Parts: sequence; C-alpha cells; structure tokens
Amino acid sequence: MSEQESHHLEESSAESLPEFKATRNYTGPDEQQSWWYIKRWSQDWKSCYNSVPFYISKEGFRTRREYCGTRKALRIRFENTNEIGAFIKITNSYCLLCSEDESASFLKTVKGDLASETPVINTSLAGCRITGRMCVGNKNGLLLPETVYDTELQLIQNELPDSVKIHTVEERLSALGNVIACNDNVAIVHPDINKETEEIIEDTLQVEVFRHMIANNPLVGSYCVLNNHGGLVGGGISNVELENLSSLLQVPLVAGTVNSGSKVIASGLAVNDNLAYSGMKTTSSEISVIESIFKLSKACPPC
Amino acid sequence: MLRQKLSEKYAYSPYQSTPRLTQHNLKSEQPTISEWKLGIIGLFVSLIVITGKLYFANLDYIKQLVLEHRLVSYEVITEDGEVMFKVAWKDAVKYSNVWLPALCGVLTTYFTWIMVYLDSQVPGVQPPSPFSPSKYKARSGHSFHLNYVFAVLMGVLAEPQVEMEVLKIFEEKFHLVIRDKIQSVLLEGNESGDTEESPKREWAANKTNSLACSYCQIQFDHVTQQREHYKLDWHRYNLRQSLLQKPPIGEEEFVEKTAKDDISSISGSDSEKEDTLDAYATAQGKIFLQNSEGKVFSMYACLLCNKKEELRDDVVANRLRECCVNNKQWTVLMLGGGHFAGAIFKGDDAILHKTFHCYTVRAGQGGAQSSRDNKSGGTHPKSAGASLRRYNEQALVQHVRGIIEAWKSELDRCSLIIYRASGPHNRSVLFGGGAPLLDRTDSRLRTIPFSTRRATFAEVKRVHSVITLAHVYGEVLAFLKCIFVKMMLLGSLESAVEHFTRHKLPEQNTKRSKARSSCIDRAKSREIVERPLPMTQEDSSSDNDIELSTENQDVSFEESLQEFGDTLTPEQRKQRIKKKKPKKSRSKKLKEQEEYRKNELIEVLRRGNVNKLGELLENHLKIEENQLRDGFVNEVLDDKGNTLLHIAAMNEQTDTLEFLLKNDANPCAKNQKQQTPYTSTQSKEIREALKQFARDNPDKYNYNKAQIQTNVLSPEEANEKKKAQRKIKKEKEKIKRKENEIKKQEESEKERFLKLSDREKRALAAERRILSQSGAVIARCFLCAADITGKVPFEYLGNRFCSVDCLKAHRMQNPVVLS
Repeated sequence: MSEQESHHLEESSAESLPEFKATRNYTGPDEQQSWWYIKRWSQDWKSCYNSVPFYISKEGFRTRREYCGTRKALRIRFENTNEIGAFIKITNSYCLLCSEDESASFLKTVKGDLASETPVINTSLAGCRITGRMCVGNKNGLLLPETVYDTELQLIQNELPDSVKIHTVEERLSALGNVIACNDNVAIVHPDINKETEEIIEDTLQVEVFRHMIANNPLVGSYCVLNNHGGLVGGGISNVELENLSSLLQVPLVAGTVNSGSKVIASGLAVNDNLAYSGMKTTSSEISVIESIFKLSKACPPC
Repeated sequence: MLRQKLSEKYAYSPYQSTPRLTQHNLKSEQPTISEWKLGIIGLFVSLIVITGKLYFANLDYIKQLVLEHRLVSYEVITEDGEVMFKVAWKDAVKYSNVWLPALCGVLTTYFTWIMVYLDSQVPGVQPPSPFSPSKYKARSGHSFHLNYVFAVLMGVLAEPQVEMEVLKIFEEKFHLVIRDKIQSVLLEGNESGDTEESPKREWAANKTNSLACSYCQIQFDHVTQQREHYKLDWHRYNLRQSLLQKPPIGEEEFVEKTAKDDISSISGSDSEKEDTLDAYATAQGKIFLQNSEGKVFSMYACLLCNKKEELRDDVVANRLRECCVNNKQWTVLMLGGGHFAGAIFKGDDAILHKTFHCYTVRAGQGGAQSSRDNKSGGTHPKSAGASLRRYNEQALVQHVRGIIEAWKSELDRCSLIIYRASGPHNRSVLFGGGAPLLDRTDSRLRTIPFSTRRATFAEVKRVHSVITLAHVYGEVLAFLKCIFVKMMLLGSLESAVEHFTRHKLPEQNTKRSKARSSCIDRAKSREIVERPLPMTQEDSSSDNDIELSTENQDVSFEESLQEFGDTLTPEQRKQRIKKKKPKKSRSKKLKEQEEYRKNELIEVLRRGNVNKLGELLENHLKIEENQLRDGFVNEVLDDKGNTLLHIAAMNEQTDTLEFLLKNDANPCAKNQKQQTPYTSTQSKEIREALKQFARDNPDKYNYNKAQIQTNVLSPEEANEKKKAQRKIKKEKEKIKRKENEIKKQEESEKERFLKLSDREKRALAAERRILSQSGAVIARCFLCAADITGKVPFEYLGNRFCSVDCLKAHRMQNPVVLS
C-alpha cells in the first residue's frame, strides 16, 4: 500500500467516526470496508489514541456499543445462535430469557442494556428454553402457557413488579409467542385462538385483540414484531394488506427481513420501546430499517 | 321359498282388498317366520355383500393384494420364470364384473323388499309382491314398480369394473400405448391452484384510504368500523377460507350459512381431506399417466424416477421409453439376512442369475453379527458361532463383489438396477468399502417399492414380474367412474342405514306406546285399506271398573298378537294406560305408607328422640295387640338390612340404643353386610353400652353371636389393671434408663480415651493404678528406688529403672555372661 493511499484511508476513517456516533451500530452498506479502515487506523495510531476503541475482531466491531444512547438497536449473539427472538422476550417493564449459565456475559449485557430497574428473569418455560416463543407479554401483563412449571411461575412472580399481571392460558396453540403479536395497545392473534384466550389477552395485557393473518399465514406472532412506535412484518406481505394492517393497528408498519433475509421476523428480533436485539447475521440495511421503524435512533426520535 | 310359505298360509286373490283373515286365524296360528330375524339377516347379508363388493370389485389394489399373498392363486414357477403364479379362480375373477353386480342388485332388491315387507300394515299378513308384476298392477293400477327400478339402478351403478388390462411393460401392446406424448394425471383438485390467486389479485381497494380488509374484500368508512369488523365471525370464517385457498364469502352468504348451523366450519377444528384419490393412488408407489389418446395407465413410479425427483412430463416419457422399449435389460439385486439373490433380465428372461446364502444372522437373537459386535462396545463374543458368522460376513461381501464384478459388462448395459438392501450392513455391502460395487449416485438405481420375502431366485423373478406390470385403464372418465361408483354405493349405503334407523327403530319402540304419525313414508305407494280390526276395543273403553277383568283378558290377548302390530288408535291406547293405573295403586299405596312410616322411624332413630320412639312403640302395640314387641323393635328398616338397633348404633344414639335394648331388641340381628349392631359402629360409647347390657343380662342372648365381648372387665377393674400395668412399665423404664446412663458414661469415656495420645493413655493408666492403691507408690526404680509411678520406665531383663543412667549402672554391676 502506498503512502498516499494510507494517508487517504486515515483521513476517511477519521471522518467516519462521527458518522458512527450518529448511527451507532452500523456503518452503512459497506460495513466490512469500514471495519477494515478502523482496524488499520486504530492499529496504526494505537499509541496516540488510547481512548479510541481498538476493534480487532469483526464481531466485536459489529456488536460494539460505543456511542450508544438509551435507545439502540443492537446485534447480539446468544450462545452461537442468530435466533435471538426465540430465547429472549423484552417488554417495557421486564425481560424474560433463558440462559443456561447464570453468570454468562450475555445476561450481564442484557442487564446493562435495559433500564436499571427492569427485572431480567432467567427462566425456562415449561422446561423449554425458547422463552420468547412460549410466552407473550407487554408492560401490563404476561401470558404463559398452561404447561409452565410451578417453580418457574413462582420465580417469575417473585421477580416481576406488582403492576404486571401474570396469567396462564389453556390453549391448544400453546406457543403463545408464535400466535400472538402485541404491543402495549393492540394485539393481533391467530384466527383459531379460543374465545376465552382472547378475553384473557384483553384483560391481562389490556389490549384490543384482532384476529388476523399475515400473508395467508396464521402465525402472526412469528411474522410480525411490534412495539409502540412501529412494527416490522415479514413473510411476503402485500402492500395492500400491510396498509390495512397498519391502519388497523394504528402504528406504522414496514415489510422487512432479519438475519440476512429471514422472513420469520420474530425469531431474529426482540424489541421493546427502547431496545432492539437482532441476530448476529442481520445486515446493516436491515438494522437501519429496524432502527427507523421502531424509532430507535436519534435521527428519528419517537413521535 | 319364503314366498311360497307365506302364500300358502295367507292365500288371497289379488283383487281382494282385505286379506282373508279372521280373528280365529290370528289367534290360532303364529307366523312361522319371524320377520325381524328375516329382516336382520337380509340386512346383514346385503351389507356384507355391498361392502365386500366395494372393496373387491372397485379396487384392483385389493385384488393385487390377494394375488400377492397368494390367497386365490397357486404358484407355478417354470424354469425360465415366465409364469410366476396362476390365479386359481381365474374365471370367477374374470367374469366378476357380470356376477358381482348381479348379486349386488339381487341382494339390494331383497333388502328393499324386506324393508317394504316389514313396513306393511300388518307385517307378515299382507306382504307386497315384488315377484308378480301382474298382481302388483292389479293392486296399484300401474306396473311401474319402484323396487324393480331401484334394483336395476343399483345393478347399473354397481357395475364397477373399469376396463382394465394388465400388461407387461415390455409387450408391444404397451409400447403402443406409450408411443407418443405422455402426461401425468391429476386426479382431482387441480382447479384450486388456478382459482385461488385470481380473486385476490383482482381485488384492490378502490378508494385511496387503507381502511379495508383484504381477506374479506370489504372497505370501511371509519376506523371503528374496521376494528369492529376484525372481531366478527365472518372475518374469522374468511380467514379460514383463505387458509383453505378458497375465495372469501360475502356477509349475507355467511349469515345464511350460520343460519343453517354451519358454525362447525368456523370453529377451530380442521377438517382435512386426507382421503383424496391422489393420496390413494400414490400410496401404493404407483404413478398414473395418460397418453395422447386419453388412455390412463399406471405403473410403479420407481421405474421412472427416484423418490425425490420431481416429475416432468417429457422426462417421464423419455425415461419410460428408455427403460421399456430401448433397453429391456434390468438388474434385480436382493440382499438380506445373509441371503443374496441377483439376476439380470432381458425382457422377461433372466440371462444371468445367482443366489447364495451365508450364515451371518445370529440364530435366535437375530441381527447380524457385526451389528452385535458394534453394539456391545469392547467385548466381542468369542464363541465358535460368532467367529463363524464374522467370517461369513466377510465371505458374503467377497462373494457379492465377485459376482457383480463378473457381471460388470452386462450390468453396465442395464437400464435399471432394482435392489433391495435393508439396513446399514446390507447397504454397505453394495455401496460401502473403498471401491463401492455400485455408485450411490447412479441414476439407474431404484429400490423395490413393495415388501419382499427372503432373497431367492423365485423371489427375484416375482419382483421382476410384479414391477414390470402396468395397468392400462380406459379413458379418464372410465377411470374416474371407479370413484363415482364408490361414492354412489357409499351414499346409498348410508342412506339405507339412515332410512333403517330413522324409520324402523322408532316404530319398533313405539309399537306399543304410540300410534303412528300420519305422515309415514312408505317405500311404496299403496292403497290404505280399511280392515276390520282383530279386536274391537270400543266397549271396553267406554266401560268402568266392572269391566276390568275382561280388559285384562284383552291385554293378554293383545300381547300374543303383538307381533302383528298395533291395532289400536292412540286414544284407545291412552285410555288403556290410564285405566291400568288405579289397579296398581292400591298395593302401591300400601307400600308407600310403609315406606313413609319406615322413613319416619329412621329419622326418629337418627335424631335420638327416645320419647317419640316410645310413642311409636306404644302406638304399634295398640294397633296390633296380638304382636309382640320384638315385631316392632327388630324390624328391618332400610334396604341394607339394618334394624332399629343398627341405625341407632350407627348414629351413636346411646339413649335410644338402651331404650331399644330394654324393649327386647335383639343385638344378634345382622344386616346385609353381616354386621351386628356392635360391629356396625366404631363408637366406644355404643360399644360400652352394649357391653354393659351384656354384663347386666348375661343369659338373655348369645353374645358370641352378637360379637359382643362379654368377658371383658368392668371399667373400674380395667382401670385398676391399667394402673398396675403402668406401674410395672414405669419401673421397667427406670431400670432401662439407669442402664442406658451407665452405658452412655462408658461410651463417652471410651471416646475420650480414644482421643488421647498414647502417652497420655499410659499416664492415665498409671494414675488409675495410683488411685486404686490409694496413694501408695507401686513402682520404684530397681536400682535407686526412686518413685517412677506415672513415668515411663526403662526395662532391662524384667527390671524397671527410672533413667538410663540407673540402667547403665545396673548393667555395669551385673554384667551378662555370654555362654
């Protein structure tokens, strides 16, 4: 590499730093190059800039948390899987996850990312680790399948704040996370869900419940992720349907993917009003869509 | 025959509107045939035949199954393997499309006739006449006999045989069939793919706003409307429709549907059509194809493609021609359980074949030796048999390798290699090893799509002959007719059963209790003939109690005639029932009274109301003076055989019990559980009361029988005894405690001692000794006589010294003389 080029690189990387600040967790479509710039740059100027982060691994770069505010969309790796949404459930008042190791860095990370008073409950549900798919909840309440163990229920009850109602649901479609998608105001549910369950959802989560499908697929919980500012819908939904759904739910919706093109949005994404976790494979453009629709960046503050 | 009998018995001319039967006739002669038996037999026979026929005639699958299992075939294996098996009832099967429908038709006619016969007003008396059109015409005025029409219709419908030819696929005839374009047949359900998209694609919101439901294809003016809509059942129904790839329905349509109580389709139950024709056809591993002339034929799909391959019509045609016409050389290899059989066929002839058997499978346990070896981990069995089998496994592999290598040139020329090698071991023989015999990715490889028996040459030939069969049907229409017939027969069967249950069973039930409703559906139109009833009931119905006896006779007579159906009008029936009531009621009243009295008594006993009981007893004595008291007090009150005493005892009413005992109630009485009053309760008070009574009146009853323990001490005595026993116990306990304490002390001391070091132990022992000697010095130095009590002495020749110096000095003084 010639002198000139390296100089140019230095300049460009130096310029790009503030850009990171604004957009935090991604650097634009040419992320790989940016990473390379930073790596070079930080290696060369290590001695001079001790405070500047020194990203030696690509993963470290992709998951870096510098310059993050309180609202952020982050890539995260959960025990070597990209399907983060299956294992973690984030709501505005609590967080459920199932990490095998209590002292795992993952748990600490999550605790650090969430607001300090938010309880992070490490539990399985009915012996399954796919906590995010087994339960559904928002800031008002939590619905658990009927098969959940007493010990687990006890643990959750102890940890959760009193304002959060807990209810178990006797339902044929027991993976509640897959059949119900909700934010703090509305919920869309699988068309075959029980009338009783519907009532329980209304009472416990204090939401308005609509039976709907997404692109002819009844598993609305899998193909749709909502927070109070917006929602990401996957599974090849048509524009008309998207508009209808958006007007129904009264939140802006966008069709998209996670984890480099996975249509099953909910398995690769866990969201509350201030935080979004997506799988490691999520591309920068996907992250940007997530940030903008869930109102997680400073560039687009929540309305 | 039945007809003959009936006509002999109830002969009447066709013009006669009333049968020639009199009361005498009815009374004296019971019908010899029970029409119920007849009807049920007829029903069963026809049901069996129809269902059997459904399976046998319609489904060549069953036929093939039967053939394969050699139920109706015998095997003829010629040298060249041309004729594998011969159908034993060849002719029967061949002409089955003639005689089966005929049989079916006849039996159905029989069945319907039986129905009508039973339905006639007086069953068995005036049967309809299905076998005589002229008679029928005379009676009905026209000769359009519905039964015959039905029979003919059934016969026509039951003609089930699709013109089907079984061809060898190497035959010229078959080659003609597949000469030109071939396409696969979609048996049904091909319309859904096209229609599902179209309405949805076309539909788009006309207005610019997004207030709409795309599933129900409806637009709203306001958000609240939209929100309401999403909670409707109609919306839910349309979601379901959309899942089933069906177009949505409008609101009015939905309302209509729900009005018809078709809610079931909205509820969560998924009704899936599993039993489609396609599923049936492909379940046997067959593929249905159609040529340009519209002829449908089926053959084993494995001949044309591997399991996972997708079918394209041109590919199929090419493959078919390749393997059937151009290159008729096929290989069949079978390997399993130490048996190997392989043959290379050219057309139908085996040009090369080889079979052999190695002893590799463990007798008794089954399974290959190698798998056993792998399973057990470290220890391989070392028996002679095990090593033999191990050796044979190797030998088998080598043999197979040798054979296949020898056939190499022929094998390469084959268009298909059909093999069976179940299990990893057998597969590894063909595909495993450094240089596999067969290439796993070879496109010519196929597995056998049906179950086979032991690998022998005969079996190989059978496989080849079965797999090369093709069934050529007629046109698609003819092919689908199969299904149509099936549906029709099932439908008619269902309706017949329904008819039977709906019309027959209620009638059966109501024959005695209810008159027929005016709107009875008869299978056949017939003039309703006024006939004199066998018995007139008018007079009896108008009479009063005096006629009761005659009425009774009537009833019995009626009963004997019950098989002939009901001859009463509903009003008469009602009256009769009413009249019967008062006759019964007298005894009933008495019974009721009794019951009431008993219940009252039980209640009194339960409450323990002694005064009331006394009153009742006195009343009883007053009323029936001749009876003794025990008639009252020993009465069995409830259906469990409990007497008054039992009830009093169970309810723990001591006073009542004592009162009863005083009034000669027998404590030996047992209830149905064989319990006496004493054993019927667990209460101590009651038992004590009974014992007390036994003590007071020792000779009155046999208390052994009453299971009361009479030799038991009185309470005071018992108390004394108990006190004495307690004392003894206390003393014993004291002694024990003392012993325990001593033991504990010892043990604690022992522990302490064990914890001490050796030196301390010695010191302790010494101290003891000193103590026991009460201060006297017990050990002194041998030389200087110093006190060495409590010290460890130095010993030399049995003498003890206080120090080494003393010992030395002593030694110096008394040198040891060595001899």
